[in-house]
Amino acid sequence: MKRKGRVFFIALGVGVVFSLILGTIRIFGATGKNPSQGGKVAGEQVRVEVLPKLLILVSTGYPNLERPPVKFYHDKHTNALKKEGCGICHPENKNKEITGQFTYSYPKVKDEKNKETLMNSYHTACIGCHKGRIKEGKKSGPATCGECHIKKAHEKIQYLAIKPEYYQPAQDVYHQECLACHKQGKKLNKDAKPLPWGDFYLQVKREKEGTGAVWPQVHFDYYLHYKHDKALEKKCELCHHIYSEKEKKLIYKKGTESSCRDCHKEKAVGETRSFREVAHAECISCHMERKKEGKEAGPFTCEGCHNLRQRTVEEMADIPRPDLKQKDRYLISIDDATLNAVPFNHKAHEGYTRSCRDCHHETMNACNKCHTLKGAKEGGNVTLGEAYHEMSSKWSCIGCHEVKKSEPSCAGCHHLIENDLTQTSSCGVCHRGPEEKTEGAKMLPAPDQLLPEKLANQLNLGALEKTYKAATFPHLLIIKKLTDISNKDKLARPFHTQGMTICAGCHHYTPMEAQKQLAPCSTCHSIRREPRKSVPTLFGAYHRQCVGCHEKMQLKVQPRDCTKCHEEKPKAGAGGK
Amino acid sequence: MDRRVFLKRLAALGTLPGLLTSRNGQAQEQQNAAAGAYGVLVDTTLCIGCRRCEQACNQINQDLPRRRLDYFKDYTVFTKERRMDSGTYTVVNRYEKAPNPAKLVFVKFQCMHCLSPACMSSCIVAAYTQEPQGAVRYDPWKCIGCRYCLAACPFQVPAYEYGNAFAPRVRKCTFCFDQRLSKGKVPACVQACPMQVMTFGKRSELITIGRERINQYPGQYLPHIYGEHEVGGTSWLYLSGVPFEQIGLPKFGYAPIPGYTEPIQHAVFKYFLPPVALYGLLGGFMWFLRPKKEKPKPVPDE
Repeated sequence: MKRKGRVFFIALGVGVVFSLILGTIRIFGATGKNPSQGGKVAGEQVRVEVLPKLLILVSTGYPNLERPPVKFYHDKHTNALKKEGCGICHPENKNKEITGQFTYSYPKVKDEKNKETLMNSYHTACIGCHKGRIKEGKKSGPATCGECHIKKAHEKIQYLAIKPEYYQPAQDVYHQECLACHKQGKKLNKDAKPLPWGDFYLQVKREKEGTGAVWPQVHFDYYLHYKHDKALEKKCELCHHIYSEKEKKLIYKKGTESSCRDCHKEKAVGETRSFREVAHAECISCHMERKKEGKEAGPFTCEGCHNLRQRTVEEMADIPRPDLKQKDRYLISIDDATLNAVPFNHKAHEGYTRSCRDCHHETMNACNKCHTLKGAKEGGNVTLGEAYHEMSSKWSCIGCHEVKKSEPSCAGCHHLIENDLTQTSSCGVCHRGPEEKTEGAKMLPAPDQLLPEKLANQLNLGALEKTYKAATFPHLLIIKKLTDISNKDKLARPFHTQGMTICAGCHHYTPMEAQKQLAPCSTCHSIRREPRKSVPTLFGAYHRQCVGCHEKMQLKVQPRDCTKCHEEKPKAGAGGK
Repeated sequence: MDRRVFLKRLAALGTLPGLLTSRNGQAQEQQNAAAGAYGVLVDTTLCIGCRRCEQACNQINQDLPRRRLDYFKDYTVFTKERRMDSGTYTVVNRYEKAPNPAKLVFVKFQCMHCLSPACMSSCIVAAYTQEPQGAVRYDPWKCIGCRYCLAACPFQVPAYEYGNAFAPRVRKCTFCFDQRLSKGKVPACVQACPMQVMTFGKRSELITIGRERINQYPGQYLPHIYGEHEVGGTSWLYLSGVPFEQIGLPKFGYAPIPGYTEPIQHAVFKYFLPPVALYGLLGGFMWFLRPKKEKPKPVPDE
């Protein structure tokens, strides 16, 4: 071989070996995981819910960007520029109609003609300020590209979802912003790894459930309202207003106070700004002004309001509710009704909610104002009957009751009970007709009056005895506990009218009479070992009922290890089963 | 043209037949449904992670390494996401159910007994067979240890006995075929489960049952039966209340895995026509371009 050829081949060999080594390092460097893309494995320690830093993802809507979007830590800047105030970054509000000194758009000078000019606007503002402060010898932010456009930083989905101009639901953010670079299979940005939808699904789900997108939603609950009421000496006009069509401006009219969200929706509609805009403009401006005047003021950092410190319903039990001259009780009925009217205790229900909006979800009016009998446009074409009875809605009477039934103290029985309104005979519980005051609903009788005399308190379930001894089942104890829970719960008591209600939680699909022996489970659940399709065998029925109940009620004892309920039989000879 | 250009063009033409054949995934599903193949519906919302299924599998398969019963009562194994290995046909893994980390989801993994098994398609000695009952069986006698099946399986199920020096085998769930399925009995894991997480029956009926269950408790399940169509359909179907990607069941397309490889493989060797045609063509060229017999040069008179 010629000299040149030999050198070439040696060089080629070295190159191949080198790239093999690099490749191996890369494979082992990556976290070796299962093909499952998102499976997180539970550790043994309990995880505490810690709020991550609240960052704003500065997104512009342009795809195919060279660098990842900037994650902006607003609170840092608020704290650093306290003296200078908001005006150093945010343009002044020129619209005298709207209160608030500043409009919270950024930067002050924004040229949105194209991608280049927009980028330059941001850079002039941010980097200009940083460079200026560095020159003055003050503490400042970064001035280089990579320190703001951090590559790995936006992997964590928790930091996402806020576009400065208007709120974009996580689903839109995923499709428009993230997939622009992270398109599955196609990598427009060579550093962008495929971004699985599975992680986002939860964000969208959380948003739909109203538990807040990424940032904890600030729920202006009774406590916050009471605080403002007290601090502003009941001057409702400082916050509440309505738009007068006649005078073409915002006025205050006593008696029309309601939630801001009634008019200010997720997205701006015409002149009506989005809720996000007004909440920040009004709330923060007011807080800053009061702070300047030296009065007690609320927070003006992101974390000050968007945190996990909101009160629960129980914690707000003693907080006075807003007074709109509402009656304590209402009699809900319609003309030519088939059933009795429903005496609705409004005052009691105020104690079960976090704010008026939990029920008055669009306006402060009664349900029948927008929801007519046949359905109207204002009511979203939801009929009045649906508004009161729809099981899947969180605003309807029945719907909210359903949510309560899924709590641990109720879910033990209720997760198995199919709910069919047409079958139930509990209409009369609510449709009682006019009454002076709510009589306390009857309590369930003590279990001793329901059980047959000769029944033992602890039952031995031995029909399937094989590897394990008979299970000792504390029957009386359980009935007593469940009866107790039911009697103490204000929602359960009116509905648990039949004496044998608690029994029906486990003894299902069977007629029952007090003090009579009930049909054993093995009547329908066979003791054979082979499971068939529809009805579980006795083996499955026992475990699903017992272990299922423990799980749903989130009891401390979770019987994963069989011996918690039945001891193992000592092994006779070699081998187990 | 010169030889290299010619060969390049010929190679390009040779891949054309691969585009003509279609994927046979749906045909396979219908065939199996008609044949009454069995399946198992796994309801992950019921599993409590007691590992009785793992124990029963170990007991019924005598050629697996024997394990003590308290091995299966060790619940610290859940801290890691486990995979099936040469001594385990099935594992149960634990996942946190976001957003509430206190809620745990337990999922049982085993061979999915696909309707269009990639392992069977990839095996060059046909050591895998698909029984009419739905089970995908492995025959260690035919196996040559190439481990193409390990690479082919989308669920990464087959495990290899690397520790065995003389007669290593590929190990995976057998659907209890020899011991139970061939006699119409339910697999051992299905029977052992105290919560009756698994429902055994004809695959077509299980799909109906799965849909009914989703309709009955819409808040509890995602409206999707995993395995109904994934990779051409699997015999083991899953129901879940959380996205399947989060509980170790990857998001796959509906095309069967052999559908990607078999069209090309089969087309290139269909009735041996392409190779014969190629050689015939080459032969023809060679004959055409054979060196012509030269006329002897007249010897100049000396």
